[in-house]
Order: sequence, then structure tokens, then C-alpha cells
Amino acid sequence: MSTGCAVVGIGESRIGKVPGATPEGLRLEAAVAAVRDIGGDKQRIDGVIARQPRRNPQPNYSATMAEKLGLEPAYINDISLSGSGPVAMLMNAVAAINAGLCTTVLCIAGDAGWASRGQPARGGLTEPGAELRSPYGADGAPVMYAMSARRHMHEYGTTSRQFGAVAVACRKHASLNPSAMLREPITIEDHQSSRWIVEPLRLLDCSQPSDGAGAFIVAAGERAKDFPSPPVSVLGMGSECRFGEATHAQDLTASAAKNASRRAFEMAGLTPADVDLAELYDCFTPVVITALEAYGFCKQGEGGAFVEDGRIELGGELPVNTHGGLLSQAHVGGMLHITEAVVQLRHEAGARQVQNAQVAAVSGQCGETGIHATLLFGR
Amino acid sequence: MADKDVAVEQQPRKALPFIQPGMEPYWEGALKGELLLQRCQACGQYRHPASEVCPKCLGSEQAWVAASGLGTVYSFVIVRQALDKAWASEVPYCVAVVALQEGPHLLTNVTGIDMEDISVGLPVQVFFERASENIALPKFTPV
Repeated sequence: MSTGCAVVGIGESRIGKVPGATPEGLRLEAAVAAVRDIGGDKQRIDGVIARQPRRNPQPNYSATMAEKLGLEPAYINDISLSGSGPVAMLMNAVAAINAGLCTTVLCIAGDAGWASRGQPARGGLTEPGAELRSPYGADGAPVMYAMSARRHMHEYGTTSRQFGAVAVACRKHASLNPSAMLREPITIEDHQSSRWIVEPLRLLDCSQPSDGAGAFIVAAGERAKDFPSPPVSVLGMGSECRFGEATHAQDLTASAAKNASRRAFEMAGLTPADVDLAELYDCFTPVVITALEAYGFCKQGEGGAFVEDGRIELGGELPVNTHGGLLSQAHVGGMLHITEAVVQLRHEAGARQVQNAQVAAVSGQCGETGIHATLLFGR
Repeated sequence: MADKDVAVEQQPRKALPFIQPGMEPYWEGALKGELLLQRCQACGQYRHPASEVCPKCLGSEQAWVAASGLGTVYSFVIVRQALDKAWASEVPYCVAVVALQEGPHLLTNVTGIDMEDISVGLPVQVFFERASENIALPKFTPV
């Protein structure tokens, strides 16, 4: 069983710190790279899906992207989900193709998180529930992720050193990736001596604002063979929404990742044992640990022990975030988790290639762990 | 702007709650020293924050009732680097989710205790901190 669709093209913009970058410029750079990856014939694209930029979200954003690329697609859609947006775009593309609305869909997302730092937004998405957080000094993404992490530590004995193992693995992989922002290897001791931001999260538990965009092109299976690069099949997809923000959530450790991944594995007819590598959304280190548990790579509560001893590093049992992840490559909202999985399954990852990789899992996540989406790719 | 000029800039003021439509009774209660919660008149479920319908039974009849003001720390964090500049002089401070006796979880600050002594499960009770003429913030302190 599979979705019948495949990723046939990918593109990435310049990544990291790109002075003067704009979301539109980066997105178009990635989109053009993806069109080149399918051989340069943009007229094969008849669907466009875009995630709205964070700082200046606009209606009909996918239409703006299509227009700038000189496309007149049969199908467009805007996705406004944040960290699960890239996976959601791919799911939406597959659904549109399988419903017969279009055949070949370009998905685009990216932001200028570093280049636009400190600039006033022309208008932006406000966080839900902000009026009940700001008066308590609780603004900022680390607060509620730290809240979930603390609860996990309380219930399962997970430690800061174990969070550190995730940071170390991502940095090791980034050191092998020429596009990564942070390439200097780190140790657990470096992690342990990095300052607290919002305890129990240290500086090295946090991803940082970055510039960059990614694009990918999804096509129906029978057409996928007609493109120059080897198609990467979408074997399974699944998602789950438990809450949109964590402030009032009743359970901060029952991750939405559990049902999302179960649905994806069921669709693909696969189990966690079939997965060769995982690109797991990693805005903060603890969410990698909770995703590993939820996906069934280990038991609930044993994710902390699982990430130790190099198990999630290249050469380990399950290499995770082979590009360096949001933590060390760049925070491009999860787009590059998808493009990296495709590069790995094409066996084009060079020094960071997972040997004989056949199946990759990708996660997207937002809503402070309340929203999760899973993809399973195969070559 | 030179760095020394930044240092003498006035510290930004802490945000006051934006009062969402429907939440007026909550803030009016806080000003009188009462923690009010919405309760569904059909199924009895408490909820926070306020909403037009009960997320459990979809009933649209609700009443504002006084909560006990008692609960336990469900989880907590210690902010050690102020992400909000208005809070720079307060670090370290505790942001916690308190599980109220009535069921809902509420984001707040826990004060009146050494940061090192805060733990999950700690019994706490509400108090009200005046933030402006018209606003009092429900906060919690150990029982």
C-alpha cells in the first residue's frame, strides 16, 4: 500500500544567515531550484501550495507565488500551519492529485527569520492565547516546550544530558553538511555548560532564527518515472491534532505524534523496524525524544535512554536529522527535513549518507506538540 | 545608537492582559479577589479560558462560578533569560501550569518560594496581584 504519489523534485535556497533576504526571494530561489531538478519544464506543474510567511501572512499567497513563477495552476492552496506545514503541504498535494484535481504540485515554504530579526512585521500571525501568557512573562517559544519537557522529566526521569545527546547528534550531522549554519562539533559537556534559557532548556537545546526556503514537487506515481531524478515514493501519511496551544492542555506528554505516526505506518504497511533514518522536527531537543517514543522506535518514557550512546547518530541504530535539523542546520520550519529525506533516499547525501537507505520517516510538528504530521518515504 | 544609550532606555512595561470578549467576568472577578471559571450548565464541566460552547457536550448555557483557588503544580519552568524585555529585572522567575481542583489548567506565576524548591505536584493557592487600576492577575503561592 502506498499513496501512489512520489516526490520528483526538490530545491533549497541559500540557508542560514542571508543578509538582505526576504521570504519571497528565498522561496522563489528554492522553487526555481526545484523546477531545475525536474528538468526545467515549469509547464508540467499544475498545482501550487504555499505556506504563508510568518511575519506578513497574506491571503491567496500560493497565487502570488504562482504568478511570480509564471504559472497558471489548476489547483492552489495556502497552508498556515507552522512547523507541521511542510508535511501538511505534501499531504494536501497527494490528496489533490488522488482526487483528480491536478497531477504535479509544487510546494513552497521558507522565511527570513534571521535577516528580518528586529524589523517590525507588516502584520503577523499572533499566537493564540497570548493575552493569557504575556502578563505572566510567558512569551516566547521556549516556555511551553520547556513546560512539556519538565513534565516528561517528572514522569519518566528524562535528563538534561539526554536532551544534550540530541543536540550533539544534530551538530555532528551538520558538521558534514556544507549548507549548515552551525558546523562546529559539540560535546555533552558543551551542552551541559551552555546557559539556561528557560530551565529545563539550555541554549543548546534551542534552534535559532534562520533564513532559508525549501520546495518540493509531488507527482502521481505513473508520471513520476518521467522525471529526470529517481522518484521518492510517499508510502504513508498521517496526522493528529490534540490542541492548538499547550497553555491549557490537560496532558503535555500524550503526544499527537502517536496517532499521526500510527496512521502513517498503517497506510504504508510498515513498522518502525523498517525505517532506516528519521528526520524529526526539532525546534527544541526534547520533542525529538517524545517523537521517537510516539513513533514506536522505543517505549513511552524510554526516549531519553534511546538517544544516548550514539544511537541516533550516523552509523547508529537510527540516524536522526542527518542534515543537522533545525537545531544545527537551520530553522526552515521543517521544509528541509523533507528535502533531506529525499536526498538520502536518492543516495545523494555524500559524507552524511545513510548506507543503503530504503525508508525514511519525516515529522512535522506545531501547536507546542499538540499538532503532528508524519510522512513515510521509500525509494 | 551606542550601547550606553541603550542602558538608560526606560525598561518596557509588562504587558497587561488583552481582555478577550467573553472573559470580562474572569477579570472582574480577579479585581474583587475571586477566581471565576465558566461551568457548563448542561454537563457541569468547568472550562478555562471562556468559550461560547462547552467543548465536552457543546452546550451553550454556562455560568461563572467561584473556584476554590486551590490546585497543584502540573508543570513549571524557570525563566533565566528574559525573552520579554519587560521581565528582565525579574529573572529568574517561575511560569507554571497549575491544575486547578476543578479540573482546568491555568498558566500563571508561582511566587513566594525559592525557585529550587518548586516541584511538580506542589499544592498551591491563588492570590491576586494588582497590575493596574483595572487589572489584578491571578497568581499562585504554596499553600
